[in-house]
Amino acid sequence: MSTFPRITSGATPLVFSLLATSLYGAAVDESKLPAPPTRTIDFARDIQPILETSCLKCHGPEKPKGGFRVTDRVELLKGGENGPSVLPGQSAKSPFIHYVARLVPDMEMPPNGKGDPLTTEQVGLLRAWIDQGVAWSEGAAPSKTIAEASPTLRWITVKGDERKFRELNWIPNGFDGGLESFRLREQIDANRRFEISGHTLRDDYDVKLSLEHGDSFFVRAGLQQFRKYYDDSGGYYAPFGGPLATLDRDLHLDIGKAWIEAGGVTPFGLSLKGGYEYHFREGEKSLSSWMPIQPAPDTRSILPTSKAIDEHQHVLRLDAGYDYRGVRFEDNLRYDYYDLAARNTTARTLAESPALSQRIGESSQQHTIANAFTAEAQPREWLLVSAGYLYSHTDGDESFRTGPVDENGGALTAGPAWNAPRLTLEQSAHVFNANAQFGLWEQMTFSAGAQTEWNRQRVFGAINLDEIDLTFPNGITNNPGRGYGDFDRFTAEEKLLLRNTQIPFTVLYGEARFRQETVQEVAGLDAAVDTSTFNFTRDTDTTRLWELYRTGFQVSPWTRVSLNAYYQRRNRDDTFDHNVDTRPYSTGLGYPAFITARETTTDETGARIVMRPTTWLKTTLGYRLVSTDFETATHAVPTLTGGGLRSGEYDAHIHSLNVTLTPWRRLYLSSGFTFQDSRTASADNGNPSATPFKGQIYSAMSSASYILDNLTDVTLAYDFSHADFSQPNQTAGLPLGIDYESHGVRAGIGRAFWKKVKGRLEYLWSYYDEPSSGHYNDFTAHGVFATVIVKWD
Amino acid sequence: MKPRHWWISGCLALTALFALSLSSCSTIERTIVETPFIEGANFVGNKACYECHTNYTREFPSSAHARVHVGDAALKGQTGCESCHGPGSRHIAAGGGKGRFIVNPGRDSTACLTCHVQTHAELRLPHHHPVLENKMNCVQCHDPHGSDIMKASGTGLAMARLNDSCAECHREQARPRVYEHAAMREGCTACHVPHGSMNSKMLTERDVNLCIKCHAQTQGSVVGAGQIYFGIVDHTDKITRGGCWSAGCHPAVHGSNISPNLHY
Repeated sequence: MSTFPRITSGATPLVFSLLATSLYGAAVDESKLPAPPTRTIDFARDIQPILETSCLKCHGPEKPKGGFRVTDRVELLKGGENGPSVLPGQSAKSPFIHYVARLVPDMEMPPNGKGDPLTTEQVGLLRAWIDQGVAWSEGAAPSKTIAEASPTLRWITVKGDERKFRELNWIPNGFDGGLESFRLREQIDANRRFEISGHTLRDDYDVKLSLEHGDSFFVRAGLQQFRKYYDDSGGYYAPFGGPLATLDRDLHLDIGKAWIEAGGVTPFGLSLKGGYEYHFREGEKSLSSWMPIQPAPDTRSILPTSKAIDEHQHVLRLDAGYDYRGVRFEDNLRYDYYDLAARNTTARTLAESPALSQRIGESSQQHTIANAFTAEAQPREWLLVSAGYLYSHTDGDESFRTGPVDENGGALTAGPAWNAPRLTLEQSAHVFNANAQFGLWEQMTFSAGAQTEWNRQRVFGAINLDEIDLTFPNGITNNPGRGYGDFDRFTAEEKLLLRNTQIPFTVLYGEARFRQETVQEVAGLDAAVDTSTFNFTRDTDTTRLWELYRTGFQVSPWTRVSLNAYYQRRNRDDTFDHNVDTRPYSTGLGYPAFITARETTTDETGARIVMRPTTWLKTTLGYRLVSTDFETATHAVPTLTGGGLRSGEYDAHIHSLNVTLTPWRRLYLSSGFTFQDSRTASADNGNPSATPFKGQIYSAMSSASYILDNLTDVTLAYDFSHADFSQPNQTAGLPLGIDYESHGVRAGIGRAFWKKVKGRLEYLWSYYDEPSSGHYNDFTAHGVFATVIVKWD
Repeated sequence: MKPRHWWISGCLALTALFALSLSSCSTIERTIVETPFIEGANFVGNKACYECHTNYTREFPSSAHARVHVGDAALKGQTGCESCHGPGSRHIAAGGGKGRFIVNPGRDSTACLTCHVQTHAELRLPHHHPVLENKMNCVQCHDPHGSDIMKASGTGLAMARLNDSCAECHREQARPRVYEHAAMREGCTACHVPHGSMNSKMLTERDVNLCIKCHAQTQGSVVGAGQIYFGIVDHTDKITRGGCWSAGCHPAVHGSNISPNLHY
């Protein structure tokens, strides 16, 4: 190992220093040291090249061997784990010189095999430098400031569905501006660095700050927010005609976080990191759960709905790590407080008039504490073992309330007013994990791991199935009840991995994973008056067996060709044993207690060939086949025998081609094309409203850039996507398939006006056509982006 | 496979063969995997990275990415690190340092998508996680160095826990409820495509197939052609109005605190 000697731990650096100095000083024959030259040493000319060539590789700013850095004068004189190694004015007594002069056995620097030994002249120069006071010229100090900012102005106009444009492109239309990117980096000295970077645009900003002092200390903080836009329209049913029903308001969620963390390494090797994070989501999002509309004689659920979200999460983290006798210990402690308030309006099951809709309010407050402790050791070069334990516990309250409203959101005088004012939540998990890896860095690697998890959840409380009828004097009919949903789950998971690189130019691998899970679940609802026949009791034992096998290879017999292929099988076998499944008026109607067994098997295979026939052309050709079968068995229920059947099938063929061309140094071309043909079909018993979900997706991505001259470059990018999953079930049901085509073009020209100022002008064109929504979601957008990039250094 | 699949495969294969026919052994240098370019740097192999980045590289041989390497005959499958981070010789010569002559793909998905072409295409579908928009990055959901690629980087134990990666952001959906949807125990990917989909909410399907491929109909002699029973309930008319959740009957797809049938 190329490290300065570690004597022991537990003593003070001063003791180390004296001990190391006296120990080596006494052992070294100083008469063998080369004589220092008498001339004045120039650091940049005489010393810096030696340090860069022979020292910095191991004693640089990050993870220096022996904790000894030669990055600046302060670090050099401070020394490493054994204290000072350079004694100004005393080169003959400096261990640093003894090592580089190779006078200390097993401490030769650079170590054998890590670099050429220093010449006599170089050692002499280092001696003279130390004797002359270890001058470290200002010019050599890496203090440097780099700043860059890219102010931008953007304008996008959309013809057609503006909200759909925003949803699909994640950007606002209209005027936008700000800083597309900015960065200020101050290299204060060799070890200390300050940086602020990010971007600030309309509804989208990201600012990160960091202050680092080598490995020993850092502070980082940041603020990030972006907006996710939603289209406000519902579904489309051609016989009802247009226009598409919309909520007629801009739906969006603002998603973001703010955080600060600090950490470092203590002098005795304990690494610590602590921080606080605040996450939030605020706004209103669309739902894919629609509401019914009933132009006679049909009813179709196509009216849009939305959900207001007010979600906040506060997280405290404390991470610690320590190496002791070759074992790495880590502990990750986390506490979080989660607070959610949400409300939405949804349709009733059959949408009886006048109680057309239900307004729903939900809240959740949870306190979670979790701690993961892991230990990792490498007792032999070929063996790595690790183990860990995670414990988490959550306490919380949930609430739920619903009230009848009409289609315009107005309160109704009659209808269900179910509520759960306070549900108690308790959840605990104990997770154990152990892993072993054999043959580290050898031609054969075998690793095995196991993880067990015991999980207990209790959720219970009052669930009141009250009914509002304000036409009667009392107004509300109370129907108190109690609901609960508890389970104990035990999961054991094992993995086995094998990788072999013995065959020249070939990597072979195999992988197997297994999971066994048992769940004991008890759930029920017990209302005083079971007017809606919702009361039930259920006790189900579930057994789940899951397994995955994967094998494959990568081979590159010629450096211009690489081929990889794999096969994978996943199988899930679930058995549900319904010990109790009762309802007052029938049995076997639990949710989904009518299912007794289910098996899902997925076979997947794929291959990819990568060719680089010339230095300027690279092609990647890939194919993937996925096939899944779903088998389900159901209980016998009154009048129905139940039994097993193939409940579903999924098949997909995915082809891809990617070509990268750089025929001239100035020109870069890249194109990718993907074609997917897939089909999902379910056991529909010939029902004409349920048809297979099948179709093709075509995707193409191309980009080109060309450097016209030293000042100017042009870029052009084109994206294309088309899918046809339209369904022919309009007469019997609601076609939910999609048929769309989109094109995107982005063309730009960049020019350097001065050495540190560049400009970029881009034109954006986006086109979206969706026949399956009656073309009401279509749009065409044009945009112009003007950006200036300014640099200082 | 339908005939047109063979057509497309054939065309792609011919294109590739044509490209191969242009090859000249003398012009090839070394890389097949398109590694990030670092001017003047050479490949040094995983062992050199191990010298300093022990915490990342000790477990790396068990990673799916350890199966990838650049086509350098002298290093035989030992260039997994540099496949994504670029050749490391200049980084080492400079004494290391964050971003010094090395690529950190954690902040930029470009290095990942160079190989994961199909994932790149999925991320361009209408409904997708905003990776290409630089609002997310790959390591938020995947650990590129560990033995479990389906685990978020730098979290918890060595193996992923059910839905943990998704719940980091989608806590609202993943939180416990009185009446759970059993599909949550199969994982979020039972119903959602993780990278991108043409369907809203990144669903695998947008019609009743999403549900009834698992919630199979009950069979019996009284069930006539075209009728669909789930449990004891005849759903024949109900499914004419749309999908099980989109028709307003079972919208609480992630579980409910009041309705065992996931009505609310």
